Amino acid sequence: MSILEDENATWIQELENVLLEECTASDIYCLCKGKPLPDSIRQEVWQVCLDVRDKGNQIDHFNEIFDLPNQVVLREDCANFVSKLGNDEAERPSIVSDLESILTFYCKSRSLQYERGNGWIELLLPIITLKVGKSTIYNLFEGIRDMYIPQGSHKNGNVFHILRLLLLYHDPELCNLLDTKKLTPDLYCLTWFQSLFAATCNLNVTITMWDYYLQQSDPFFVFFLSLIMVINAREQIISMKNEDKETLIKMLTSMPNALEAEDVADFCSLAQYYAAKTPVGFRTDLMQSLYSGKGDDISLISQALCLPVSVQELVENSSMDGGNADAVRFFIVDCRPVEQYNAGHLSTAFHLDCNLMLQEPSAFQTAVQGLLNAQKQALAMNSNAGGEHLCFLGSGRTEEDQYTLMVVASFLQKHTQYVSILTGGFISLHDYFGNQCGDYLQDHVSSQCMVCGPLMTAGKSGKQTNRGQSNDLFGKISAAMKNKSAEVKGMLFEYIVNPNNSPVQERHVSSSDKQGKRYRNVAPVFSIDDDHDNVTSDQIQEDDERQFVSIQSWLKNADLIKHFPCQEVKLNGFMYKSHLMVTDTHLVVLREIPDKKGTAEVIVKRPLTAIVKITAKKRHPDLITFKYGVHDGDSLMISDMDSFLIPEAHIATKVVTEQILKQVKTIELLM
Amino acid sequence: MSYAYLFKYIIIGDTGVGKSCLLLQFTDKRFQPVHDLTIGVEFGARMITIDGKQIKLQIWDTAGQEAFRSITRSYYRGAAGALLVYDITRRETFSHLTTWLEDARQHSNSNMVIMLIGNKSDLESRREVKKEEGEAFAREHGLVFMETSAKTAANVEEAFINTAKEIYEKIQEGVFDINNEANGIKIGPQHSPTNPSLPGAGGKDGSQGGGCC
Repeated sequence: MSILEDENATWIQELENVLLEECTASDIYCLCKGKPLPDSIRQEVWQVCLDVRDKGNQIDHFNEIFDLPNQVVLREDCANFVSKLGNDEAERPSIVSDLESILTFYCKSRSLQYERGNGWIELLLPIITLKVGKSTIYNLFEGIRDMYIPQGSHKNGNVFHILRLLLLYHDPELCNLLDTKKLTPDLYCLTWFQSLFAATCNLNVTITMWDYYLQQSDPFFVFFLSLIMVINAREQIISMKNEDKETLIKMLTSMPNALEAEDVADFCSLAQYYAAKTPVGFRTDLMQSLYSGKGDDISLISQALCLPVSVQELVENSSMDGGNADAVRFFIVDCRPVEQYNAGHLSTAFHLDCNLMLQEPSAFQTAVQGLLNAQKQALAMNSNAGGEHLCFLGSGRTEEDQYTLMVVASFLQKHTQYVSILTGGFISLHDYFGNQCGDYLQDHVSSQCMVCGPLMTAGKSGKQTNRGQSNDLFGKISAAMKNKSAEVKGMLFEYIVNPNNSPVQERHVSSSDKQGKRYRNVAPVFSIDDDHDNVTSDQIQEDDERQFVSIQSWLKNADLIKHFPCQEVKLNGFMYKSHLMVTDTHLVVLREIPDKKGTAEVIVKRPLTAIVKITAKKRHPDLITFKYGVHDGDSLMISDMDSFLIPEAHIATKVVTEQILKQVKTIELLM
Repeated sequence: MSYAYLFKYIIIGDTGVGKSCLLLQFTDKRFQPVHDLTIGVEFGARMITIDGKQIKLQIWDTAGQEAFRSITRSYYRGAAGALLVYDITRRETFSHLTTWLEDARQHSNSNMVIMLIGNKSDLESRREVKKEEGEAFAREHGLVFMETSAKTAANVEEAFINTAKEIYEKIQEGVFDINNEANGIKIGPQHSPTNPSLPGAGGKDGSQGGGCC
């Protein structure tokens, strides 16, 4: 018990230190890992997480004129709400007046209309309990509304189409049951989204959940929390399937009531698990339209047969490390007519002939069985082509895609889990690869290709080098580099040392050539943004130059002191098979590239002297975290950290420590 | 099994009118009182005989929900016949017929034979739409009309077969270009494409053939 308290005291202490400085939600998540916060610092943390610390006193600009079109309704609702809070009779009028000012000012500054039951008042409740000033309440309220309440949280809003697709993805049977009962998600989880569960959960639960939520700073988390709510009630829903619609709606709406504060952690980690098991592309596509109200391209979602996956996601996914069992891995099913498939396809795509379904249903069943067996085998072998998640690919032309849709529908009707469809089909895929299709597609015969066939110039088709699995890697970078393909490709080949392919090694780029940054994230101080904002960080990663090296050549490096195969552990739980290289002066992390044996990407290169702390988890002595930063008087300022799972970690830490000491001595000698 | 022709059908209409049940009754001769909502599109097939010829019906059963409307639309193309279904016990399903018909006419080839079906005729006590109303609507829009019950199987065979007969007649008249698969008709694998009953004029693309029916 005392150890536990100690541990508690440590992270709270550290948190308090961090709060004194400039910090972000991800800094906080690093320390708290989503744990409930102590009451004393909650308001401070929430402000940091919502990035409203420097917002100033906005509500000061309020002219105290209460003349909204439905001011009376608003006042009534505020009074009603406060009367249920159980505060002192004497306190109430001031709370009511604060609420009314805040909401009136919010309406005015955002040109919005208050509507009864829109969740605003409920959303304010957890904030009021923080016992902070009116201007802070306002800022927090505004921050939560902007970051976490999707704009489409209204009847028949796109939010609920997405939730339905997610349910269909994870639990097709339940989704079909609810669809059959005509129970669309907006009927039962409107308030969940509008108030971020504040309207349906009790206060303690809401606050604990928000502690987690705000640290996580993932605006899509509400989708997964809601998804878990529904899936959690699966048995109950099924047992009540003969009840009338109203009863079911009532039951579903009130599900979050049953949640207790102790359950929140489990509940959130379950949601986290489902989030990790869901393709993420739809988030990027919808972020804009959901949270800024811009863009109305939602027909893709409201009319979708199943979850759409973008070409970019599919291609990037195929180049990902297979090491993390929880991550989404696709099993690609190419449903185009066989002639089209034969004229070029992804190397990892399994072909399923749609026409069979029409012409020979029994042969089709056999083919599906074969497909599922192939999937099982690929999974068992941990092959690059294997994945639990089925991604169907049509041609992208309506004429043929009606057959693709029929096949996809047949899988959904059989309640197959994890079914998605590639947006835009093969044509989009082809467009994405541009004039490098020959390199990325297997058996690509441009003269017969459905996309480039008639237009393709001669001579291009001969370029079928380096095809197949090994090309996945290029896909990632190709979009950004399409236009200057030839030149860029030269550079890439320079980076990627392919042991089996001599032409590649013969290429050399002279040292005067621009190589961009030699490694990423060299600066000793930078903030981790991995979890902060999915959208932007992804983009940055793409534009960033990546450095690829041969592991063997690193091992022969004279500066290398010791090498440890390990797993790099990211904050979000993802693990990457990596090599920790300790050199004379640096700590270098090389991440293996799944289908390029012997090749790795340089993830970080840290000066050993930047390491200020090495920690190990009590329960997982092999999970080592290196913390970087500077000594600031007596305290440490941690600017960054890397975590690894290293077999026999104590050897690694010993080597690193010794080396750091040596370094420090050398520097001292030099000075 | 070999066949002389293959006709492609599509079944459309509001959600819950009994489209899937009609198909199940026709292909499997059974009735399922509780039926899951159709996801996207389902598919069924059955062989019938007309004029001594084997004809294979390939039937696409679509989801009635608004959400799937754009998927449904892609199936109009290449259908030779459509069953437009409403529920005689639910007035609103009858009121929506105009929208369905517009949608169908807009996205299909103009020769598509459309059969209007008032389903659930077994539920006489709950009837909201009179048979005469259905007949009037059909007359006004040039459709064939029939009331059916997927539960008792009343008129189900007839609905599918009469539609096929109508299509067959159109072929005989040369209205349909049977060499163009987009019309929803295919000649069986063992039958030569030189059908003596097909006049050469039939080749002038189905989109503007005989407009009167």
